[in-house]
Order: sequence, then structure tokens, then C-alpha cells
Amino acid sequence: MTGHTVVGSKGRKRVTGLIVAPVGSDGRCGGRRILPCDCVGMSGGWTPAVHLFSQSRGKLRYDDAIDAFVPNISAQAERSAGAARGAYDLAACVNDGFAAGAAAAGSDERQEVRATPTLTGFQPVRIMPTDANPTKVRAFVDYQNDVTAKDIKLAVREGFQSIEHVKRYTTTGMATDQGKTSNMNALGIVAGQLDKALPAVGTTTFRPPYTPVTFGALVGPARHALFDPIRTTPIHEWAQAHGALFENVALWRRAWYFPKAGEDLHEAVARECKAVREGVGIFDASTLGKIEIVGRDAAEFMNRLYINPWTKLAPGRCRYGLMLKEDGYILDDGVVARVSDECFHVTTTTGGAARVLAHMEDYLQTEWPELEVFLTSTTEQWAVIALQGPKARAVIAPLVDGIDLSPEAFPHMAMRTGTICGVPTRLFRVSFTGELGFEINVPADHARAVWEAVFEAGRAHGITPYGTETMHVLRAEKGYIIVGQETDGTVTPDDVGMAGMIPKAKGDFVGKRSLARPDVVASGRKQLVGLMTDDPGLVLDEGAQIVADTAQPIPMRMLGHVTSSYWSANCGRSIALALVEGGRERMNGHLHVTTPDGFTRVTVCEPVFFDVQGERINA
Amino acid sequence: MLETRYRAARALPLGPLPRPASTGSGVSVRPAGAEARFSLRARLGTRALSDEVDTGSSKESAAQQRLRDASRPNVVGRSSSAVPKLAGLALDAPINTVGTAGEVWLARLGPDEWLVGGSEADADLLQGRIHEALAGLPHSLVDVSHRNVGIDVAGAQAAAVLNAGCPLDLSEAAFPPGRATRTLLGKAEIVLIRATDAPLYRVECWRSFSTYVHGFLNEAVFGVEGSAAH
Repeated sequence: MTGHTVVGSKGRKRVTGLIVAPVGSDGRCGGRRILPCDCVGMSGGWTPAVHLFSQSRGKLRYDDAIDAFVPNISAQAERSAGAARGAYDLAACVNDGFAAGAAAAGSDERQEVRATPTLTGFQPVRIMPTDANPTKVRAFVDYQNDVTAKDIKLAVREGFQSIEHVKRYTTTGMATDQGKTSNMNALGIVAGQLDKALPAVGTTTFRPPYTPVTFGALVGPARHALFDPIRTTPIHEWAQAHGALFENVALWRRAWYFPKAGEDLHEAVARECKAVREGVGIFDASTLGKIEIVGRDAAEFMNRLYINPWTKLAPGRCRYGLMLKEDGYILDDGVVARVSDECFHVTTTTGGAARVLAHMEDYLQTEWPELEVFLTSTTEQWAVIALQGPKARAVIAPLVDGIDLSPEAFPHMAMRTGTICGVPTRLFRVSFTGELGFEINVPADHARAVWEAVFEAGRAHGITPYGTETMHVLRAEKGYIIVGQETDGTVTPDDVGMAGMIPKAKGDFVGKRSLARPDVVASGRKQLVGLMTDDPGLVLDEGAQIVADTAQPIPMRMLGHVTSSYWSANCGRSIALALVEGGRERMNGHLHVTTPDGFTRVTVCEPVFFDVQGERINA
Repeated sequence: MLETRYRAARALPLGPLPRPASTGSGVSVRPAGAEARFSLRARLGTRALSDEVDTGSSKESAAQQRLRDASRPNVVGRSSSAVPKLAGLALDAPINTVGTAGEVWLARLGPDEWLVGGSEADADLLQGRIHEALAGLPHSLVDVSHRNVGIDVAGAQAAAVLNAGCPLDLSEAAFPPGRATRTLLGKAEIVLIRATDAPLYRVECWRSFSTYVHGFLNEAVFGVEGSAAH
């Protein structure tokens, strides 16, 4: 069949024959014949597989004689030999391999192997001649991504003349073989169409792996328990033993709720919420980030990173700190205790711990290297046992030593050191529930023992373990924000009603300038409000959109969204927090919130639903 | 601040006592027992605080002095013979090295950061000695005894086990005795310490990552030893 070409194929869904025709010296095709067959093998000649060489960042050169790219300048301690550099004949291949190995070993030794000459030296064929309509013929170039010669010619006609563009426009050479079978043909077609020499068209970058790699090799040990670190607190096993269900918060597993027999999520959470406000609840807050900030300039450092002032905070007192980014938006928050003149115990959100420490170190090292202050992560040094509810003090009183727990000696937002069950503690009187509350910080290895002692002491008071779901509901009842729930990286202190935390005379701090930006001081910004549904039993969807007029044409003007929404057993109705345009000026007004079935009407209110005067926290 | 004695024994995350875990013929992975650890931050190149006079204008100049000194982290503010030493170990040892004196080890992880370890019984003493060694130099010493967990990997195949998850070159030339560095093991950050000639490595990680790190090392032992060991 010398001097013949393939002009087509027969068969639907599988090949049944090839249509061949002789090619004249003028390039015209003669009469067709059909060769019946059920399998077609194709070869356009040889080309070295230079992928490994290229992945080692070596430089190729074009060898005219064999019409192929071959390795040229190595970038790493590498040599290519044999067919990998264009020596196709068997004897030449073997001898070349020996020479390369000898040279690598620093030897001049050579060998001369003889073998039957291999049939090589024919010029590669890029595309079979045909007299068919070139815009209709489907001659496949890349068999993995089904790219045809027609596709490549179209790319060039469309103006994609760089081989990098042709590759991306057509996807030729992008499959797992990275063009081992297709690249030279594609290059040849492009070169022919542009009337350029092939090397001038260039090559693209071959991606690893050289040959398909099993998922097992890539996964390695990272499966099942070792897929990701699952971070658990010292209380984890106790929670498991007491029936807790868990949720993921960053890499941590946190107790979500503690259902009793037959309870679902709502029933368990309703019971836990009431138990905390009526008696006492115990909650594992160990995952919160903690940073020990020590040094002569500690207060100055804190002043520059938070919107709050810290200089006059007395040792033993706490303050809720709000931290912004350069752009003026809230980054993180947390209660901070001043341990001494030169030492602050800073807390952050669970998910923000690493981010805040990195943010602090960044500024300290690059902006303020003159400040004498040092930062150390203590997130895992201290476990935190939160005790919240009117009976909290009564529960821990018999266990605590060296600390006067009376409200006169130990007011809200204070921290005292002493021991609990003989274990050293930093005892915080703080509350994320609005009830009398303590957060017992103890070194982590003692936490389980202390927790069990507190739980035992609390039995007489009806102590109830509660999880993150209840924690979310209780803080929402008081309107306390959660960074990442009420904030999304575009929320300023004033948006959530905290502008008053910034004293007028405060010096510079990260984000201060941005608080004067035109769009930040403009009216109409979304502001934190509470929402009460007309139907007290209806719980809004978090993320639901808010409009003023349901009769307006679509697309409706959306004023904001629901950020938090819960059933509140303590309030006996549903509650929600939302960010709404000009929210504070809409008090007592009505708005409409989307539901799966349409809209529901709500009244805008202050973002606090329980104990509005805030008296219970000072018990 | 001195810690009061406490009744409760520490409940270590990987078990109450040092116990051998996977042991093949070439390697053992063993969680360490309760130890004391401190994170030390200090600037070695700054002046003694007592040298500064507090007048109206000196506040600015003191900060400027500190700014100047801060850019020369390895210059000691006092005479060169006054290099701070802890248990005979010099604090200005090169970064990423560790020195040991009895049960005390001192690993320098950065220009102004050290991780210090010692026996739990002597924790208060060690704390006092560190403050003494750094008298006059601004520093921060934070107890992280409960934050950190130690795991010892020992044996002829120890480096291979670590390399299952740590990309560092652990050959003798690249990681000789006396090296310590912060690095990765799988998806966890660790501090890797090689104190002695023996193929014995201490892996330090944070408490909540210890189950993962320990599990990873055990899996790596299996990989290195193969099924022959089991």
C-alpha cells in the first residue's frame, strides 16, 4: 500500500473498515478502496519523550535531521540517552546508554554492541493527505482530548498563533499523556499554517506526572483518621461518654449538643438553654485562641492593634477587644485580661487564633520592631471550662482557693489567679450568655479532672452540660455578635453598634484611618438590628434576604440579610439578628424576609431579646 | 510566678506513662512522659533596662536606640563575655541548634525564640534559672508544659520514619547531632530535635495534634518496616 493514504473510515460506534486511496505526485487522490478491519493502528513516526527532561527544567533544541526536539542543556544532574535523545537504532541506543552511564561515573569506557539495524530514519508524517473537504474531515491529532487537525487550524485562523494559545484554545496536549502522541503533529500543523519553521513555533511546558500515578501513591497515609488532624480538647472523651454530638469548627471537633434519650436537636437545645438561665450550665470553651502578650510595651502594642484603649486597664480587669484590618473591617474579637502591668492574656475566636497571631507578629516584626513586647501562643496551654448561670458561683465556691468570689471582690469582667481543686487557675469572670458566669482557665492536662470535679459539685444544683448550639442561641438572646456570623469581612465597628468603644482621643491603631473613608462614613450602611417575626413560632432562615415592599417589581431592592436565627426557649418565641441598610433608623418599622414559600413580615427591634437591662450578669 | 503544688497528676493526651508504641526491629515510637517546657522570647542585642535614664526627651531616644539595636539582633549589648547562659548552654548558639545539659534542653528556633525543656519536678527551678540568665534583658517566658507533647522516635530507621511526612534532608551531613527546627510532619507543625549522636529524634507538637502526629508516626513505622514486623 505504498503511496496510499487514508481518506476516511467506515462504521458507527466501532470501526468496520478504512477507506484508502493512492496519492499522485501532484497530491491528488485516486480511486478509493475499502479495507475491512475492526482495529486501526496509527503511527506518525518517532519522537523522543522529553517530558522528564523538560520537567527537570532542561532546555530542548530542534534536530532537523530527525525532525524532533531533543534534550540540549541540562539544568539538573541529569543525562538523557538512547531514544530519549533521538538515537532510535537499537545498537546506537544501547551504546549511547552505556556511554552516558560511564560518563556519569567519570569513566571513558565505551562499548560497541552490534544488533540488527532498526527501521528508523523515515520522516515523521503529520497529517495524511486527503482530497476531502478540509473543513469537514475529522483527523484526530490528540486522541485523549479529541482534538482534530481542523480544530488546530481554526485556532490559528482565530488569531491564536502562539503554541501556548493553541494549546489552551484547543486543549491539545493537555491530557494525561501531555502531548506524547500529539504535540509534534500539532506543532507541524501550526507551523505549516503559519509558514514558519517548526522550532520557531516552540513547545509548551510538560506537566508532571510523567505517567499516571495512582491515587494511593498521592494520598499516602492521609486517609481515615489521618486524612486531616482532628483536634480535640481535653474534655472530648467526657463529652462523648455523656452523649454529645459534635460539629466541626476549623480543624476542631466541638460538642454541639448533649441530647438526652429521645431528644432531637431542638428539644435538647431548648432544654439546655433554659437550664443555663435557670440554674447553671457547663461548657467547654478550650478551643478559643489564647495569646500571652508580655513586655514593657505590651499596652502600647495592644492600643495599636485593637480599637479599644488598654493603658489604663488595671491588672485583674478584663475588656472585650475588637480588632480591625487595615481596611477598617472587623477581623476578630475576644475578651482580654490584664495579668500584670506588662502582661495581657488575649483571647481570640476559635477559627481566628492562628490568623490573629500571624497578624500581630507581622506588625510587630515589620512595622514596630522598636516595641519591646513578645507574643506566645497559649491556646493549648490553657483549657477553658465555662460555667454560666445564676448558680455558677455556688458551684465553684467550695472548689476554689485563694480567690474571694464575692461580687464586691470579684466583679464582672475581672480575672483572678488562685487554685481550683489544687490546680493553678486563671479564673475569669466573663459571660457570653448574659448570666453570672466564669471561665475557668486551667493547664490542659488537669482540665478533665477539674471538669469532673466541677460537674460533681454542680449535680446538687442541676448542672447541665451544653454545646455550641446552645452557646449560639444564648449569646443571640443578648445580641452578642459572633465574628464570621454577624461579620463577613466588610463590617465596621459602627455597623454593629460598637463605635462607642473607640475613645475620641485614641491614638493610631490598625484600621483607624479607614474608618474615615467616604463609604465607611456614608449613611445607608447595613447595621445590626434584631428582627421579630409576626408569627412567633416561625424561625427565619439564616441568610434570608430582607425587603421593604413585597409588591415591588422583580428584581427587588434587597436591604440586607438575616445573620443569625434561632428558636429561643427563654424568650418563648423565635429571634433573629440581621444586617439592614440604615437599620438603626428603622426601629419598630416593618420589613419582609424571604422564606421558601414567599415572604414573612417582621418588626425591627434592638438586637437584644432577653434581660434587656443587662442586670443578670452582675449577680 | 511560682506554681503551687497540685494534687492531680497530669493526664497526658497520649497516655499516663511513657510507653513504647510501635516497635519494629529498626525503630521505636514512644510518647514522652510529663515534662516542663517553656517558650522563651528575648532580644539578645538590646541594652540593659537599668542603663536608660528616664527624662522628658529620652522616651523618644530610648525607642530610637531600641530600633537601632533591633536591627542588629546578634550584637550583645554588654561585653561579649556576658552572653546569657542557661545551665551552661549559650543562648546565642546558632539558630536551629539545640544544646543539652542533663535533663535541660535549649533549642533556638529563631533569632528571638527558644524552646526550653526540662524535668517536671524541677519546673519552678528551671523557670527561676531562665529569669536569672536573662536578668536585665527584655524577655518573655511562658509556661507551655501543657501545650506541647513530646514523642521520641529512635532506631536505625528513625530518619526514614520521619521522612514519611517531613520533607527535610535528615542525613548526617544535613541534620547532624545538635540540630533543632520547626518543620512539618504530614499536616501538622512540629519542632524536630536531634540532640545526640544516636539516631534519636524528639518530635514536639501541640496537644490537640498529638493524636494525629502519633498516629502518623505509627503508620510510617508500618510503612518502613513492612508487614514483617507485625
